[in-house]
Amino acid sequence: MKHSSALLFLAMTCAMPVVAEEPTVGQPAPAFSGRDSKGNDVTLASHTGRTVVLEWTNPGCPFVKKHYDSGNMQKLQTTYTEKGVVWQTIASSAQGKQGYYTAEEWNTLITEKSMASTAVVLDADGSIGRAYNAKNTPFMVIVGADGTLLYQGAIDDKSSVEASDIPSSVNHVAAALDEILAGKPVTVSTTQPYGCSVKY
Amino acid sequence: MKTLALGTVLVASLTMSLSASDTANPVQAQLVSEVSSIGPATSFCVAVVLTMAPEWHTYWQNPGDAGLATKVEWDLPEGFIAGPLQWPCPSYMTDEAGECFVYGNEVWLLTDIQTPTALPPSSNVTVGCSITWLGCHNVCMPGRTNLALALLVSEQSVPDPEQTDAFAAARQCLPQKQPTWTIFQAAPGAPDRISVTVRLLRQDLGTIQTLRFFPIEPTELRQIAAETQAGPDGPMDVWILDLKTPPLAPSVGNRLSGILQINGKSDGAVFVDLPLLANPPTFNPPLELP
Repeated sequence: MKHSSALLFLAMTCAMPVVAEEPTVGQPAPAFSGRDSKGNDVTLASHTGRTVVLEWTNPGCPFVKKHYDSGNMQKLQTTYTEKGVVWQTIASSAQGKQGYYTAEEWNTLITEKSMASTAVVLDADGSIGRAYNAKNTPFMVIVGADGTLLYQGAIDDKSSVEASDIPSSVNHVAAALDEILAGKPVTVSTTQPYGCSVKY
Repeated sequence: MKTLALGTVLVASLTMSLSASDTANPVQAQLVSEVSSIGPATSFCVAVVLTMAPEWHTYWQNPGDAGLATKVEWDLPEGFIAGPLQWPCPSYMTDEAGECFVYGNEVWLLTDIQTPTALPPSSNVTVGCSITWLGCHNVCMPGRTNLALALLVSEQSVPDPEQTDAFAAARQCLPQKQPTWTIFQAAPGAPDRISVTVRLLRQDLGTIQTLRFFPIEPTELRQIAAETQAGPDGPMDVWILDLKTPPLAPSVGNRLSGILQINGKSDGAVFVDLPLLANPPTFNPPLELP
């Protein structure tokens, strides 16, 4: 059997990111600042007072396609932004890797895919991804109005690339947002995410 | 004798079923039978063989932090029962985004299929399966295919001599069910960490350079370090594995289930299955190695 693992291990030890602390539900969510595809500055702090969803994406990833080609992600974005939730789609792919697009290209994609998030945040240096220890696309985070981390993990409970699994899946993000908007504690606040790896 | 030869030739061409769809996919699938004909009330082995283009990989039953395990669904004749997929020891892969448990080059996923008592003799039966996988390199490409094998029914199963070596090699890569070492949980660390001690046998002294634990489930304990420790008989007869739950997993759980890979090789891996205790008893290893 081929062992490419040795080379990859070496590459990994040279490129190890420094994650000071692991983000924890119930603790303050890591701060971040960046720029969106329309050129606006974006910070987490500017949204104090509103619930914020962070959605890590890579349009080429089959797991992301499952939720976008089916319209599932856009429906969530529309439903909850209409209820006052701020929805930030985060693009943490490094330049030269799958999922990286310029601001202009993102604006075209937003129209093409009928994306309804508040903004697409360009995180090509991966600093926001690393602050949140994002390993996957899709990876979903919910931050409460007071800045507390309320949910992190998978979008739903079926790890697959099949859109046909969506109707029978439990959507963790919708469930958590419904509880938050009703002033209730989040029942399922941490799940193991699934997806492609983030292309730092 | 002549009839048997003819039957074997006929079936030999049917014991390997190639993936006809999507030749552009960097992963190609085949269904291979160990036997050229099957008998009643017995079990025979088939393999789903995934061949991957250079640098591409598919995933173990626990893919790790990303990816998707290969899935096989069987379409069998009446009375046939397929056992679980037998997963060979994977390779360890890591990058900035996390760790994954993968196969490269080629992987044989074996399954034992039981035949019913009543099988109409000298007939053909078709064993079918639907395979889905995720192949990744810098990008990921899902794949799926349906494969089928026609197998002749005879009085008893007849091994296909052309497949004997391949199946023997495939079985070498399966973890052993009975670990020969003493593996036990040591004192607990933080709530999300445990320490596992592996006590080698005398014959292994000096031969083990690395050990790696692969958990069966994505949420289970992951190895963050492995160190040797001098025991009563000198260096390297005791290994201490430092294991931690992944960041988004719940607590440590009540069982350690997985496989222990030796020296980064695909053969010789052992199954690990330990109950995990909140307060493990202090274990004093015997002074004499078994």
